Amino acid sequence: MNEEDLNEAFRDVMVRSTPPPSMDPAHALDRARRTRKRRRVRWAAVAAVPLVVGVGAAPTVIANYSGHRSVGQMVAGDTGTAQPTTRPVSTVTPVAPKTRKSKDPWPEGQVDRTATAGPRATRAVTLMQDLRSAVPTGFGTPDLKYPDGRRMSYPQSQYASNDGEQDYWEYMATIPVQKDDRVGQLLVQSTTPDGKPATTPCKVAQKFWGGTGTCAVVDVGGKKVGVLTTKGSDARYDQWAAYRYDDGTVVVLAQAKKSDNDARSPLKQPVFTADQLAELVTSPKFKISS
Amino acid sequence: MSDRDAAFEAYFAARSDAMRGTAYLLCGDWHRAEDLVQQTFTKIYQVWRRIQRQDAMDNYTRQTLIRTFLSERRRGWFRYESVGVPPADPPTASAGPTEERLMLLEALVKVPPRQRAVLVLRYWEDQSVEQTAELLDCSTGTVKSQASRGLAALRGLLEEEKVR
Repeated sequence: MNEEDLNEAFRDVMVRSTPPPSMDPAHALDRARRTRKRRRVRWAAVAAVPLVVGVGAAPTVIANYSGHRSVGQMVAGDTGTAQPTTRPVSTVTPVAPKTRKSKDPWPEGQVDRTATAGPRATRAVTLMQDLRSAVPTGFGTPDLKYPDGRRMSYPQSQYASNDGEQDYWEYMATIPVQKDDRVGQLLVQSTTPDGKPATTPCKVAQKFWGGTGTCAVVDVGGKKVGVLTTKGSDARYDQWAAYRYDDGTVVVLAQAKKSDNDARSPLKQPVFTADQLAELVTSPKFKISS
Repeated sequence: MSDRDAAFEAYFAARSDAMRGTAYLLCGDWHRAEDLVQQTFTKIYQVWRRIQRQDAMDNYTRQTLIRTFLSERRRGWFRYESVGVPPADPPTASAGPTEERLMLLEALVKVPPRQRAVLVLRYWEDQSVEQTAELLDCSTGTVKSQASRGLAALRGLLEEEKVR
């Protein structure tokens, strides 16, 4: 049996197999939600211990963890056509929900969370240009593309608040960074004030994409920046710095030696040191407050 | 239902069958394959915000599936379990297509898990050597050697099955 034989044999196995009916998405969602809720309650319980001792406010904390948030415009289309006997290919087209959960229209005439035109979209483009201009000497920011032709650089602005929250926006830009023939990736995200109370720099950093890893607070001229370094290869970014301004605007600057483009070799060294990352995240050019 | 949940359900509906097919080849059993898929998507749900683009999402899901499979193997959950319901009579060299399929599956699950994962990724998922290395967090050289050993092991096992 050679490689081709095995390829054919796998196909034959799948064609001749009698798979059970498709799994129920609602059931899968229910299990995922219950797992998530259990984890949140567990974390809330851990957080509540010092409160019970010091303040006696644990029930309130736990109660606040019992809900679930809806987030993001990252949605997938429902083709419902994938069959277990077919080759696994990426055929799903992203489809945005047409209305919000509350049935209110999206703000500013949008059809989903993302602002694809107008001043908010322009701000994200400017943010991307500012990110490019911040890349140190020795690195390039060429207009690279994925194998399927899409640009690796992309700006995005999106309405980020959920039902019941005050309106706030996220502006994000991602760019590839090249050195020799190796490519890494940078991301900057500026979130307008969301009306929530201030928290520690590390909590701000950990909030970004649910990041886990080691966090250190870096002092940048009196500004406290959380710098989180991720643990393993599961994370898309190796390290990021997060800074919350007094008005509630939060800026995150993330770097990865490896880009999302698997066809490109990763950088050997990160673009920035942790201190450089912390200093840069406090740059006013990345702050977008409205 | 929140946007997140609706998106997750849609993504699950669209991709779970394909992922379950891959899981079936890894586990050799539909029920275990479903467990593996459920665990994988549960993990995906936890990090839903981080996954922004569809291609990245598919890759992340595939990686999570493979790592969950290998992680469970390390923990030994499947160690003493046979795979599926064994056929009443061992398949023979002159067996029909269905028996040949069972023969391949039986042989495949005897291949060491990491080699099996390489074989499934390379020859079912059509992942390149580089992509497979990324998914398994190892070097391309390791992928090549594991693929070669896996194929040799599978070949030997199939020969044994035919002799029985």
